[in-house]
Amino acid sequence: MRPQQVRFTEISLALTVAVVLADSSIVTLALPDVLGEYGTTVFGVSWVLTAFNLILAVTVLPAVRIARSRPRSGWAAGLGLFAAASVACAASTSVAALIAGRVAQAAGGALVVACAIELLARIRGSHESAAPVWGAAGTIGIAVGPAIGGALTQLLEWQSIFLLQVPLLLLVPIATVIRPEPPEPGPTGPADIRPEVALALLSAGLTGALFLLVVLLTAGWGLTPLAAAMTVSMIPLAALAARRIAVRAGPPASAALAGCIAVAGGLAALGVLPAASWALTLQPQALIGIGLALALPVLTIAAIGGRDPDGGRAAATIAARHAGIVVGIVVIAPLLSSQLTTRQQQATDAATAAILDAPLSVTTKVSLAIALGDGIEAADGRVPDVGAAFASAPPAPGEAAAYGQLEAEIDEQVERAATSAFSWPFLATALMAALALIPTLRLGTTTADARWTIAPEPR
Amino acid sequence: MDDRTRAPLTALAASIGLIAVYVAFGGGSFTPAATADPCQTRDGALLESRGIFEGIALSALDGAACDLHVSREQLALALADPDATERLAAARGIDADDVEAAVRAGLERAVDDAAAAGRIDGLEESVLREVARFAPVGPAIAALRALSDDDSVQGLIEELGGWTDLRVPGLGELGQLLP
Repeated sequence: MRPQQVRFTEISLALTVAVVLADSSIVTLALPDVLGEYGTTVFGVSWVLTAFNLILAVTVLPAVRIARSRPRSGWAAGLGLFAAASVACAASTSVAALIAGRVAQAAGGALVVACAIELLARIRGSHESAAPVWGAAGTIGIAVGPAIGGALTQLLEWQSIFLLQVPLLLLVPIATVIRPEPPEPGPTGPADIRPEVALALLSAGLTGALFLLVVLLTAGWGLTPLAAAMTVSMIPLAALAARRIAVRAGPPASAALAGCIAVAGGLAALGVLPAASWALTLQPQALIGIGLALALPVLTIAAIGGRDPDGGRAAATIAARHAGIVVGIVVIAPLLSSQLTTRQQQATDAATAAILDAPLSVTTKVSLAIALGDGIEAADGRVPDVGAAFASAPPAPGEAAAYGQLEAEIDEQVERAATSAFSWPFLATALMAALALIPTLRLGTTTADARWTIAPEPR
Repeated sequence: MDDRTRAPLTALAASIGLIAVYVAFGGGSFTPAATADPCQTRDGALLESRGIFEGIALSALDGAACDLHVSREQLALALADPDATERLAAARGIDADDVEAAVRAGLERAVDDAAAAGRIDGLEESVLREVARFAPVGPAIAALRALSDDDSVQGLIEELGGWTDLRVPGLGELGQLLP
């Protein structure tokens, strides 16, 4: 192949990996719309994310077997299944059908991801040299997924997220130009699951950034998907900017430790937000992004560097990361649901007390109570629109000041109650990320540093 | 600080610093707005500022909530519809009749207090006692609370007459006594 053709083929393969892994988080900002359209619960809609990550984690290792024997046809078949399932997701008429589509998407995606590293290895000569390109594509995909999904949800509609993935099929012909011979087997070494455990725990913690934060911004604080997408772009931007810091962060093992601390610290800071303001999420997000830039490359290289003769260990890192995301969602979704119920009751009591005691005519109070009750019912478990309720029940003459004061009081109570409902779930994800320190510490400096050193540079 | 400790310690300092600043500005310290203890006597002036009948309704809610060991707000929400009343009763391990009995008792005590303080006259007291004994408690409380703009017994009877499911013996006769 000519150099330009090689580059185009590598970029195309990396693009398919990025798009598939972006799907683990790309629908996050569409979840409130899905929730509203299908009338399901927060826990139920979380399965739109969970199902994809669970099936991807479970099927990516078996997919490696197909990748070894038939990488080109496996990659094309995986893309075909992924695209067909994407159409099914867009056309779904119930949350069950959407989840079924996501399962098929993940199965096809696992085949794409497993075969892509095999094809990249055939172009680059070894799995070790293919892994950095393949790993970077996946990380970029997961990081930018929520922002792209949010933008598409706002500018078009959530179904467009899936339909815009179908043109990936146009890349199928590039598989024919890749040589059919497998690369020389690379060196082997003893299996070490500590980096995978650290990656899984870090990914479990990252559900705080991928899932909780966007739900808080949209369903909790009422930001539009586009505004939320711009807000959560802070993480990939910080990760990108921190690449220079990562190079100067000292020995790789130290960088990995620093990364885990920063991710845990950023998530914990999201758990103690002092006010309901998107601007206050930027600093914790920056910390999380920097932490990812420091930890993920080192842990990934420690997991596969120099010891991946057939691409199986690279696939294992994907399985570990997505299993971690599943564990994170399974732990925090019921916790969030329970916290929301508690805080909603407290906010309702506080709003009732404020209305009962307000110096307003009872006619105004009754109209307002009915409007707020309707708002709570229409919100269906999400945070009600207090402003709309007040706008629909205008005050009697001479009551404007007291009415405005009551609205501000109730609005603040509702927003603080919503923010507070996310505190424990964020702190739980921070704990999961902090637990990643244990296997990272036990990795020791010598092992990680040695693997970092021997990991070959991409050609 | 050597090469191996610099990055982890810097990350730790940044994390602790950010968390400390957020906590210092009130992060993680959410406490919902306090709801008043229904067993504490409320300021009479506050009740009067709401009008006689709304004041009596609020006082009745306080008394009933105190008896049922719930907040006034929980009881007010529970009286909004029969299903909500059933849910509150089930949560307290009692039945809906007990909730109704507590509200009637609270209403009677509120009428006693208002009469003793000279805030209502004899006719108003009679009407209110009839309401406390016989009217469905949810609509009765709502009707009383709806009267802050019209603190007259005539207004009260007209308001009660608007509730089609109210069956208060003697209300018609009392109404005929009005000028």
